[in-house]
Amino acid sequence: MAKPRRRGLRSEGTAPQKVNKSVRISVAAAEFVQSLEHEGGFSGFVEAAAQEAMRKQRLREGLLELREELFGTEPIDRRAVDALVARLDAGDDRS
Amino acid sequence: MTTGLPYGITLDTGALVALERREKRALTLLDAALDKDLPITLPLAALAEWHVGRRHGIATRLMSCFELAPLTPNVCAAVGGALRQLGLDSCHFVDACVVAVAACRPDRIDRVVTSDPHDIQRLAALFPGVYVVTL
Repeated sequence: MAKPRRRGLRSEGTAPQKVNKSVRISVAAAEFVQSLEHEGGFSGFVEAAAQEAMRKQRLREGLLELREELFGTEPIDRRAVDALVARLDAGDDRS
Repeated sequence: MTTGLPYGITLDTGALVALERREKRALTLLDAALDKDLPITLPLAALAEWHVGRRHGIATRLMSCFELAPLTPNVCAAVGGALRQLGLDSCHFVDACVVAVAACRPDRIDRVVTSDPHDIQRLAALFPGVYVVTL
């Protein structure tokens, strides 16, 4: 007597998971596209990213101008900067 | 130990005063921010307190190089809750605003940079992820 084919049973057991995963991905993709359309389409998305990059660039230039206005051409104290960055990274306070 | 997530810097009034006085530690802060591309946020409550000292010389410049953080409803709720929880009065309002601004950002949690960590440390302890670094 022939044994039942197990391959079909296996695929029946795994199929729902695959369907669920692909459905989740499709829903996420649809939501992403919908959000893009809501914000003016892909071009709107790119434009928003460009504006954000320009805003950050303006702030950086402002910071450089503030440094020059307050401290002139004072050179960077590399050791002090590295020490402060290490404390900022660690979230550590010396007190 | 920190999470390793991106962070920025939120200033308190004392850090602003150190900048205005051209203190070396303030220069180090600016250079660290420029070197690591760290955004600096200035809570408007701290700016208001800074103006109490009638300091207007670099006010315009400050507007153009820091992200200005207003008192949003979320920040207000955090400020009130923190003061109430610690039993502090409104004398600590600006410090609470600074810590709440650092905690309530939608995109990151900032380090609070201060010249006087005493009260700010107590407030920051209420907000997971907010760290205080003394200038």
